[in-house]
Amino acid sequence: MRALALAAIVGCTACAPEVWLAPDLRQANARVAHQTASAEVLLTWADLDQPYDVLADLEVVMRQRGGFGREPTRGKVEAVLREQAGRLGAHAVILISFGQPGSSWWSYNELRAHGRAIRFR
Amino acid sequence: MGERSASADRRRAVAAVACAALAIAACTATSPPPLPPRRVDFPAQAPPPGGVAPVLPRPADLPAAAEAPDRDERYTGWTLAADAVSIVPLVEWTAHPKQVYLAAPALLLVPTIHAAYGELRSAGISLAMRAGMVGLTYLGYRWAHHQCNSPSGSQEQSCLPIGPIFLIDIAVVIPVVIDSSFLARRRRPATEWDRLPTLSAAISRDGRGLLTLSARF
Repeated sequence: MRALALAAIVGCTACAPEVWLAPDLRQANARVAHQTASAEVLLTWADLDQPYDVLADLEVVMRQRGGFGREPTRGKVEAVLREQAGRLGAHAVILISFGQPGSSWWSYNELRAHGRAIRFR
Repeated sequence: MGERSASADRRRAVAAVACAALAIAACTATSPPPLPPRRVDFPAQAPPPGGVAPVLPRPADLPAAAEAPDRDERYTGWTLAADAVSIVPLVEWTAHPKQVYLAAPALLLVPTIHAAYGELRSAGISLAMRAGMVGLTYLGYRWAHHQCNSPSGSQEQSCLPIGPIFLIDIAVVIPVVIDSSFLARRRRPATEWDRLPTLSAAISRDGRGLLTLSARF
């Protein structure tokens, strides 16, 4: 029994945070045919003056698994936003904002963020 | 005696309500402020005198086709409802262990819900957990039977087998919590993405789109 509990604790220290995706397409006006290189997707908290089309509003919720899982961080959330934007074919994710990290019904350590995936015209 | 037990029940109810209120108050994570509506007007960009307008770096297009964004959904309500329904025959089964069919809802109902949502991996994990739950419940029953019918315990009028009750409680709660919190979710592509108009894959730097033909098979 002790070995089982120890295995659960040790196992959970390696648990990556749970990622919850909730994209909203109500503001989207187009989609594109091809993906873009996600590592090159520009992330910014500001709006841009260069004309663009909106592909999706991306929302990411990252939750720590159990008591010993890895903590959600802004860097990890941004990596998920980049990956999702790249799959959509976006050039940038603008208006990125983060909520206050804290506990929720599902985890005692949760971080929420969203941003708008866009493609320049 | 009755009054005392009623007041104890009331105290427990108040404690339960206080615990629930604390749990709600403990939710400290906040959502970011909502995004503004889509921008439609952009200022005309006059090129700077004697130079070229700066262009933001654009990621390269990959040959892979763009995909609809994934969306996570929970169906916790269905699994909890199934557990609430199946716990009654399971408890009944501990009194009549030969009526094996009474354990079937606890064993199969929630895995069936996972399978109906297309989550076969979750269904397999849930089925394995629930087989363990049914087995431990049966062991708990045997333990309780042994405890209450042993020479030391059989003489008492009422027998409260604390250990077996605790074992059955743990055996039931763990699969219910894991099923509802971790397994009762699925990730699907957003269906409304298909209804959006497709932009040209190749757009010139000056903003003019090229005429392309696209088809979906």
